Amino acid sequence: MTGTLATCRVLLVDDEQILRSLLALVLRRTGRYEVVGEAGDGLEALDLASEHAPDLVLLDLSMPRMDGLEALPHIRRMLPDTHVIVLSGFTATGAADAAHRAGAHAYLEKGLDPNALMAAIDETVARPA
Amino acid sequence: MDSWLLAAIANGLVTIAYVSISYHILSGVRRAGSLRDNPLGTATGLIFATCAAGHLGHLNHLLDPATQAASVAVYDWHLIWIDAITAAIAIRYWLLRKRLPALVHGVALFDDRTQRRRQALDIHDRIVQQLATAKLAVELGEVEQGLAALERGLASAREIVTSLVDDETLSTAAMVSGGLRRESPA
Repeated sequence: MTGTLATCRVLLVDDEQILRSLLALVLRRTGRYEVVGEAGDGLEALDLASEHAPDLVLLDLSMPRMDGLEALPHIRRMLPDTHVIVLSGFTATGAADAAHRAGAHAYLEKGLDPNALMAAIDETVARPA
Repeated sequence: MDSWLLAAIANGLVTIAYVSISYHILSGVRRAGSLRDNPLGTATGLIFATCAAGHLGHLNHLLDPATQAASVAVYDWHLIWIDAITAAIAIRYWLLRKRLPALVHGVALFDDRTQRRRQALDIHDRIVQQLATAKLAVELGEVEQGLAALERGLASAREIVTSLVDDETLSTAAMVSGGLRRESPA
């Protein structure tokens, strides 16, 4: 999805269940995003990405079984038109470089307020994948 | 003095110094209970041990009548100088043996970094994530979820800090009167 008219289908990937539900709430409130799946680790994310082919994946880095940096290239290969935004608790410096090298379209630090978070997500999905 | 005798003395000194250095490093690493956890320290001690064995071999060849002639023929002044310099350095190193515990700690630096990285990831996973979740929850008006995340973050913080302070080295250093004094107010 590169415009804002259609609903953007989102896969949330984070091992913190409460954070996933809060992110889902933020996204739904905009009316422009639909959460089609929630995964607690990279392996689950690959399964759900394959099943739902989302327009956007919000991906945590530190997770059990398969972390975000491991999952990212697989997601990018599987769904080249899907935007992937890494959302992590690490400060951007080294982690952002690693995420971009692995194919992420954007890197956001956890802790952004909902408005700033949505602005960054909107700006990323408005660009071509 | 025959040149081969100088070479033999140098090799003898190097052997004794290297054996002693190897013993000090390996016993230090062993006392720290980190022969497996500190591969760099263990390898350093073993390298000194194998070098000692090599120089002992040279000494044996120089002293053994069966191999002496061939060894003496090989040992020119160039090799003798190298062995003499090596002996001087080995003796100097041996004289610094009281500082070897620092070396044992120093070679464990890589392992310390690995340990610090593990601790940082633990703090990230169990505290930063919870704080970020709590902040988002409060901003969304989901106070109960925010408080739950804060509770978990606080419990994790206590666990992590306790496990770090329980570390033997840190506890002896910090758990004394004045050992917990902060540099500046929180």
